[in-house]
Amino acid sequence: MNTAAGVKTLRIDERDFSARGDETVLEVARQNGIFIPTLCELKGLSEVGACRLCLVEVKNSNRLLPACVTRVEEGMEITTNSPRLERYRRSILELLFTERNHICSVCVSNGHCELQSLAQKLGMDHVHFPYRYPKVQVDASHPRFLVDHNRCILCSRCVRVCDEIEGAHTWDVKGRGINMQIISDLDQPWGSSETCTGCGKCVHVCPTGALSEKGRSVAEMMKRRQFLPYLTLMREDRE
Amino acid sequence: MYGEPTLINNVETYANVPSIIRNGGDWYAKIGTEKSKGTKVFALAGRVQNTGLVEVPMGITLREIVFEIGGGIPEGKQFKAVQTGGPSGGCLPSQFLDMPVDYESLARAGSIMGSGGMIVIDETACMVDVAKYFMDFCMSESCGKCIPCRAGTYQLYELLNRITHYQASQQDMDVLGELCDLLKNTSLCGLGQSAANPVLSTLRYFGDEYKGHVSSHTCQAGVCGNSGGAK
Repeated sequence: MNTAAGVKTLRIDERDFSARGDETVLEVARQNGIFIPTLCELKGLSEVGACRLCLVEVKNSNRLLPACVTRVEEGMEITTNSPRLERYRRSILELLFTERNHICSVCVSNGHCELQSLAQKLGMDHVHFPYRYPKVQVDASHPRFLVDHNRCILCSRCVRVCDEIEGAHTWDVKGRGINMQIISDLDQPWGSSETCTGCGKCVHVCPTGALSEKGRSVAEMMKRRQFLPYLTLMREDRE
Repeated sequence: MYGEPTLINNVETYANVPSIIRNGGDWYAKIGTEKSKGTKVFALAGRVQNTGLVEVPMGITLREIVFEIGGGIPEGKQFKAVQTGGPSGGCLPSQFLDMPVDYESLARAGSIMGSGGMIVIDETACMVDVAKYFMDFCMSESCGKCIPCRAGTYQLYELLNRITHYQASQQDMDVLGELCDLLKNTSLCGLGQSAANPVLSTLRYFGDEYKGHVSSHTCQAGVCGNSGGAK
């Protein structure tokens, strides 16, 4: 914790707050019960600012800024919700739903999927972009886990948790743009991966049903993420 | 770099430095306009007699570049537009031919100096097809990290593809505008933020061509057919 960063005062949604200078807008908003939607962000992992759902309006900035990577500044005036932001967030969710094949009714994460619950929360009641219906693979070669690329939203949480927390770096990304895909090792079946320790952290940080445990029913496949902040806290203490 | 102060600039900028040192800053500042000083190198390409790299003083008109240096359009064809600033720049129609070329004027007209690319387009080109071509480039250049650019450029390309196949509706045109706005305002980096520029500038100056494809299924340039565009 960096106390040298000093105290900053800022306004979020017409309310005054004070925060440490090394905190992000998202952290301050969460501490004070202000909801900002996120998908790629997960406490305990590095931030990438990729899902663009946490974009907020900042007064005197001509750009929208991602709350997860924007540090608080003195005198900042932030709006976390507006008709414009709502519209953008819904469009981004629609783009995610049309990109791969998300069929909630047959998904192991139905009812506890972050993508699904955000769509419900943000009122995405229909999709007005055409669906792509890409042909993508399911890799069930691992003895305990399964990766279904149809349900992947490319948030890269699995890549980060494997690299930053487990230290194995089994997961990575291949291709670019619309052809981007998550791969294990050098794009080989997960089951044949020599680096995977089988820890299952990636499964539990995955926001959708893309990564799951084999043989689990919908009710059994609840994802547990409490371990992450706990692990990082323990590491910080040791340092 | 290697623990020393490091200057990273474009080669074009470095190339200007020796002559400025030799002749002085006042000499260099005499060239160009009030706000955009000096010279600029353009990569002149497309439908002109003389293609290649040209170095011109800032403030020169587009007409001088295209018709004097470039030697005009081959085969006696009519000038239609000039695309400046690389794939994410904008297309300017003939009404801007006498506009001085500097940073401010280009920005005001809805284009950019960008990479210094300058592609001349003649009457045989369909502007929707041109926009589709540039969107194809942006789509394959997208890295895929952020969703607006990754899926947005794909959706825009598909929309433009439908328009050139005479399969688009007025609703599709609304979605086109909506996606351009989304990309511009929510993409993570400059590529996604500017990827919509070719569509926005062609919509602005050649909106009737889009309209022709959508409402009367006609392509002014005769490029698009039921078999699709040139590409």
